[in-house]
Amino acid sequence: MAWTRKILRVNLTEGSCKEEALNMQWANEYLGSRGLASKYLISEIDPKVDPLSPENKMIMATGPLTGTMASTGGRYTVVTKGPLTGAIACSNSGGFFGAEMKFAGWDMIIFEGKSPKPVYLFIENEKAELRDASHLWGKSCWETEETIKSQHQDPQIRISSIGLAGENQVLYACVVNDLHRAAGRSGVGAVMGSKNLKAVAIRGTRGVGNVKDFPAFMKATSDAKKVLHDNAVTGQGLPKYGTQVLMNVINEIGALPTRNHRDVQFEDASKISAEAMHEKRESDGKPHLVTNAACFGCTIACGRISEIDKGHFTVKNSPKYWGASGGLEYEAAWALGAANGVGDLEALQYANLICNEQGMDPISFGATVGAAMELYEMGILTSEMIGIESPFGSAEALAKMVEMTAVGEGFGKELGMGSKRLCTKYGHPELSMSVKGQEFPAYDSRGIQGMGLAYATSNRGACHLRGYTVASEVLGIPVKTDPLTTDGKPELVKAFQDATAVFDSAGICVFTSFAWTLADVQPQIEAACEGDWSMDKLNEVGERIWNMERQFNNAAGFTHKDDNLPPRLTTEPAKTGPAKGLVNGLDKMLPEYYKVRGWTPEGQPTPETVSRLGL
Amino acid sequence: MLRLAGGRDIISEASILFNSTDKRIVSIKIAFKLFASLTDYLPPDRKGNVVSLDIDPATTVAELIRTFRIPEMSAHLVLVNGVYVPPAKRAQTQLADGDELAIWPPIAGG
Repeated sequence: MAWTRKILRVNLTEGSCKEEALNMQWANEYLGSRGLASKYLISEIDPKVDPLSPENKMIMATGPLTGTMASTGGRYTVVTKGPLTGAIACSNSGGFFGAEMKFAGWDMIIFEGKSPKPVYLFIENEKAELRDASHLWGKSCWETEETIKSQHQDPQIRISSIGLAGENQVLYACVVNDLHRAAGRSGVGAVMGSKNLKAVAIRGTRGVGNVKDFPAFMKATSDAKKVLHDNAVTGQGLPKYGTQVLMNVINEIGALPTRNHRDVQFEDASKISAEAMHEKRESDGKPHLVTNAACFGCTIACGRISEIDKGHFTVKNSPKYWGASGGLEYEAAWALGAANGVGDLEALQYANLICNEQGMDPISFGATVGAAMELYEMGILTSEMIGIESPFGSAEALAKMVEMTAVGEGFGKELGMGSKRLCTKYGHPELSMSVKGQEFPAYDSRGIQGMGLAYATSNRGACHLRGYTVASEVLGIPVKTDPLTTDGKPELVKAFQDATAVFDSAGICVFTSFAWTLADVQPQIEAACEGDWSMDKLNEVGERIWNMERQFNNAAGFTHKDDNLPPRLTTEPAKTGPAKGLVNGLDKMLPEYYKVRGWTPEGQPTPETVSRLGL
Repeated sequence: MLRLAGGRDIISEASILFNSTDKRIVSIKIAFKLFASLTDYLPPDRKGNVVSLDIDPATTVAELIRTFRIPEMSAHLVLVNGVYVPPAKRAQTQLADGDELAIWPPIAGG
């Protein structure tokens, strides 16, 4: 049993911290992290609760492999009802915080209520207490982390916190740990801010000593690490080029959403790509990229650490941004770049640094900027309203908007609502490139058809990490399929969605799935966790988690009508590239997907499906 | 001989290919792009990840991969004008004037 079997319940209204036993029956059915925390959340809150009210809860959870020898076993998840979407929110992060939570002896922390004043939770192994955070309120994630470590005279404390974006309840605020890793999507940081919870600081020294069969676990994790090492993607490509290697590929196949999805190819894609990050700059002769980086226990090390051009207009008077720091990863580079038509790599890194510093999801922020720029080009927004001329491609506008949004000033308050609310306010809801209120990531579903279905049915709104069919449709992992056809995509999307739920719930990184299948993960879980963890059971657990999340969203008021895409993607054909003339064929895929899922034509799990999965 | 557009020789051993001044065969011009670790297979004074090539009209994708000595296993993602060419079709797929051939090793991201 790799679970610690202990939960910490923190009632912020009362100011209390209480230990509870983990529900082991639920652990047996939902594994951990995403699945298990979602089970707790759904069992404890009204699905129609206001996400930013004290009645909503927020859970930080590890999985059974978190903190263990399993490669990438450093993940933790923040689960809550999301303010951006009103759907279940489940954001996953790497770094070192998750493993530290496990080392302190906790599977999960459940936050409920709302503190009357700003507080932070300090955990030192079994001791847990809420402390005053009035001196931290108003500080960035970076300042908060530094202050807490300094205050406790312990640089090894691991911290998750919110910045000004979370305090101001930017609806896509994230929770940042270890300076530049984040539970990034769906606005989990806004929920934390609504509870007056500034940070969680943990020091754990207990290790993870409760693995079921340690020799078998050592063998299973060692075998699996060899698979990662020997695989060209996880052993070579990701460490050297990171996720950013996708920029040119996705552009080449005509699926790089550009200028708020007006176009599917970006003429400056090569300037903001992984290859460009390796090139020496003309200004100072140094490459943008400094090195790669790994999260706890990771043997892939895909993270990017870069150094911005000190002479760039964004930072020439701000030395605090001159040091090496996190980014750019592909999603951020796309959202801050191609989505707005900005081809200035340094400007993108500046915006990315602000997102890390103040805790904002760069995907939703960048996509919202793209929507604002389109409204500006249509003459609906003006430079007087925004505070700067904001045509597509303006690095100056991007820099100004990220500064305004992070601190909640001027037009930044409107950008902080996300693209759906912004576009609706100005009379053009159709220009929000989102599903269920959450903005798309970096793949245009006219050029990658399966992703349209994956976005439309994602339980947390548009997202690539719930069913990454790009792996198959573009990259040939595990097998190559045609990105331009809808044939076979319902089955493919379901398979990716269910398998990903298992990876997430185990406490490992989904990037291992570029080399591992569930058959590589199963022996690790089997050796770590008590009980039967066969392949059949893991497949069932993944499907159960997906259906449970769906049931919550249905109870929250979502229907099959919300499994939709903006009309731009279903009525405006791609203008260039291999998908030229194509729109997304969601109408062909969705009915078949419901059948494959065992759902009614209205998108409700049938009684047979509910019974089969024990929901 | 294979030449960069503009006439500079880069590979001389490819007898199947002819330069643009050879009067026996009229050459065609393509854009040849190598990415990620394959960038090293481009000429050292390349600008970015693309070179313009003058090639024999009959040249296939597989021949060009061999000519540039790209290991077969590394030519994982092969796109002509953005469309994937599976391994079994690379020996038959002839390039046309104005085509863009782009190749990646096994990669992924997210």
